Amino acid sequence: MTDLHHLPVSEAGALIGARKLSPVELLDAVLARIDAVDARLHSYIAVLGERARAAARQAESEIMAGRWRGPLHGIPFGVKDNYHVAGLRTTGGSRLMQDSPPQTASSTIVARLEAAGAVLVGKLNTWEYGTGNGQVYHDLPYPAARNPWDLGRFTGGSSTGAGAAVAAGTALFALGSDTGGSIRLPAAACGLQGLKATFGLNSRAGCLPNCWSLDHTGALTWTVEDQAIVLGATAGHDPADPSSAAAAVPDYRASLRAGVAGLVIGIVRDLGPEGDALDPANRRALDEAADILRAAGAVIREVVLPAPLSHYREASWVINWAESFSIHEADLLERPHLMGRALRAKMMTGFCVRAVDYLAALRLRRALARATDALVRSVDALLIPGAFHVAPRFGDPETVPHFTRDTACAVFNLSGHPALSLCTGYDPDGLPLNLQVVGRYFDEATVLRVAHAYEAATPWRQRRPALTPVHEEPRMPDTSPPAVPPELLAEAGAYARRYGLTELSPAMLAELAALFDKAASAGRAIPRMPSKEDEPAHVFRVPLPR
Amino acid sequence: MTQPDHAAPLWALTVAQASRRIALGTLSPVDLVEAFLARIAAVDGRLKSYILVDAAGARAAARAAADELAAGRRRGPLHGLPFAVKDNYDVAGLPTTANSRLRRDAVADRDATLVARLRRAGAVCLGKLSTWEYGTGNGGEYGDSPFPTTRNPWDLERFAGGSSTGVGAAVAAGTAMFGLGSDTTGSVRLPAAACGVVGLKPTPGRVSRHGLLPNCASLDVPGPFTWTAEDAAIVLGAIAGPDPADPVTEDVAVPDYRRRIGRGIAGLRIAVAAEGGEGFPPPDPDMAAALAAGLAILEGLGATLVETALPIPAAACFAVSRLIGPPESASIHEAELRDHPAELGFALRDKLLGGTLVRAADYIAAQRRRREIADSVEGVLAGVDALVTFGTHHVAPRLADGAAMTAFTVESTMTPFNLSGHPSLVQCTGFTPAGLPTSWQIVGHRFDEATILRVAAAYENATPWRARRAEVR
Repeated sequence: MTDLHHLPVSEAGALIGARKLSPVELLDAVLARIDAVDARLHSYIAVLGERARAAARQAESEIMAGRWRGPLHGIPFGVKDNYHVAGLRTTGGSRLMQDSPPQTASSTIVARLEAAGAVLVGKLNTWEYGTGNGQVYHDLPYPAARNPWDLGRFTGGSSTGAGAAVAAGTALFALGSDTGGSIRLPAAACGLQGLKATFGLNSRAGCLPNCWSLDHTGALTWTVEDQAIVLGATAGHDPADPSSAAAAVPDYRASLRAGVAGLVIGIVRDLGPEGDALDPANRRALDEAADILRAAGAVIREVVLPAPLSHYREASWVINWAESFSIHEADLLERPHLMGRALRAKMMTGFCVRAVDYLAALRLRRALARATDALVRSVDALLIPGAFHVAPRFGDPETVPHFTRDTACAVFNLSGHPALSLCTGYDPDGLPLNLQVVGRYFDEATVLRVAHAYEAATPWRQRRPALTPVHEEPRMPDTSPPAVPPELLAEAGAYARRYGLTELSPAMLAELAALFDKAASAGRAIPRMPSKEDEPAHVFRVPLPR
Repeated sequence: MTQPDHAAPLWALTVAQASRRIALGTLSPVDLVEAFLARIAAVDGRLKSYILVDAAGARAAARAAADELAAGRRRGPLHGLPFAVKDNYDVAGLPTTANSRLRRDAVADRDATLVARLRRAGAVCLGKLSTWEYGTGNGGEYGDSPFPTTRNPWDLERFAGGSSTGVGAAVAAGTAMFGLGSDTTGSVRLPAAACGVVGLKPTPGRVSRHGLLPNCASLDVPGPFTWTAEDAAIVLGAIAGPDPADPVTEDVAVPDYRRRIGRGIAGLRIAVAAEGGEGFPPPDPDMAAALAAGLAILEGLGATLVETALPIPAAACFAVSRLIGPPESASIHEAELRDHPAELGFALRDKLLGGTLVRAADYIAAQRRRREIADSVEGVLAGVDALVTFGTHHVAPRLADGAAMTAFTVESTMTPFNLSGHPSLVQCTGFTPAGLPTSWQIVGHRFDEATILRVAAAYENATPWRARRAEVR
């Protein structure tokens, strides 16, 4: 029998429901797994042993008394440390939050999972505030999470601990958050299924914001069926989140095994010049996935995105930089030295974005979302590359930002469509491959159905990572100040002073000067909408009368 | 109270009066339109309310309206009534110049949704009214627009209020029976205040913006100008309601605004914020005295007044709106500023240049603050039926007085309700000794334009101000 800590949620839940497995026994197995491996994995920021044991004991007694709550009852899970849990401090993986007071209320979807009987094991590792500039500098208060498939490699970010935990069995499932791929990238790097649901389906209330326009909450799981179970518990309208949608939540498990016969599935093979970066192994796996689904009766149709990938990326960067900076403005102005380098670099970029470029990005977003929706509605589901590369080595830090940037993930943060990162096997080094399955708005059921058909037809879920000791130590990326022309340095310095950024060291100022240029080029690169009537995506609406 | 019907020249009839005469068959749409064309010919050389008078189109529409009446078909209360629109609304076949050198040949191929609705209701479009370039600017008048500056009908040396400059002037002077303008931070209510007419900024989502040139996507709201509150109720009833072409419009039922308008205000609870608030100089004494007298009238009509203050003063709200309006305008007109800066008027160029300098962080901070402002206004409205505040703090300034021009546009209590998304109406509360209109503002719950119209009508019926018309000398 599989180790208890490697049971999928569906199996563990069935055993618990049948009283063949005790929630206490299951939790003990997971805590033992954490003891055994987390010192080298670093998936957790905080393990809540006592709290979890109390919850597991309560689950056990409820079940023994005949009050089984459902398939999540007694299932141990972890949450990225940007989710609030009542009574606990949320650190966001940041030095800035080390002295923050305990939270008074749990985030909505954590509360919903706990109400469904799931047992919270702890707070998982994350990039600082769930974001950064794509690089890992090993300068945060918690050591970087390691990839269970090769402990010398990156887990993918920003939900680093969530990816590591579910692959290594230190949690049966985990919550992450996704602004431009932060659920799907760790899922891809760690061989998991990671779902960014439709914008508005999962509440964001009580999760630290990174970028209001693009943030999504969601889970990383071992199987597609586990996604269906967890989404069934987290999804649904939440009045505490103004972006929450009032959409019906179906039983995602009911249609999971309906197969794909007759479904029209689009495949995006051609991603333009940016697509050249796609690893051959990921490209092959994408083609093989199409073959497998075709053999299962799907009609595969080659399609292309309605705009160059660069348009999606530039718009999402500018929106993300600007909104993130708005959130952390006071910290950058007053305590920049407490920020990790990755967050600080992103904040300094956001500091430089002009409102007209931000508005151009929001106007482009509305148009891209509309055009992308026309494509998605022309099929039942879509296959498209997610992360282009396998998990990079910390020993070769120059490849880390490429893993984060070379993706087609942000497309669906901008458009809001549901997108699932699906494990499509392993490369010759045993590193997980991936693609994205994308569906229509609020049609997660079809995404899961397609993903499940693929998963059931392939052997990938039978392999688990070995967590063999590390062969290669991380190397710090080059952090020497960039060479910038003096006039640019002067311009950036004047701008920094004008807007109150006075705490920068000379090296930081040189960094700002380079980012000043980066923000301006990204802003200028955003294609302008042809019509004055094309509105930004965020236009204010008043609440309807009750 | 309005002038007795029989005593008024045709151009001075209210919508309600003219509508009644047309229904009775005692007034022909053709005669009515001719009266307005004659009025335009008589005064608009001095007033400059129009950018384009479509006499031929109006005559044809009036004849068609008359023919329908002859055939026993009356479309409703606006059948045969002449109106005009700010020149940022599309009217099929006419250029939408927005008073910009860059748009003199921009002929629209179809009507804006609101224009189409008015025409479907039988109303007759007289033409396009003057506006600040693109419906915006920096508060100043520099005399450098392609069309001449509109004058205030109560004193031709004075400003008509912006940006819907021609609309306020036209309705006050009788060169249009009613008009449509647009309001981003006061552009309907400022001209209404300056010209002594009723200007209504409805709830965002209540009326469609389709076919209206945008100025600021997150604040723009179209709105009607009328002589009386009852007229505003009639016009709003014809233009309100969802429009699939404008995704911001909401599918909220449109009540019969006229039905409850005469019910009086006995028993209504009306909050009063009778201070201009911190950050702006006090409102003109004439304005303040008129507000105080008006409140006594409301009380006499049976309303319960509740003293309050805006928790976030108007000046602080203005500081927020100036970080939203200019960058959004700059985003909309970015290409013109880059490629044709010399063809823009100074006021627009000044605003757009300022907008390009705003950082995203400050824009977003302003949008975040907006939510707080909206909640604070909700708090003020909790437990009351409406709110009375100052609208403009000053009477119409002299066009030659730059500082007074800026103060008129900036120092008002209007932006809080653009930011918060509450409907608000400006109406005339009398005249200064020099004969310039004073005004106040009535604010309501979201989508409850009916109550503010009812309060405005009660006040109007209890005061003599609607009997006085501008002489345009």
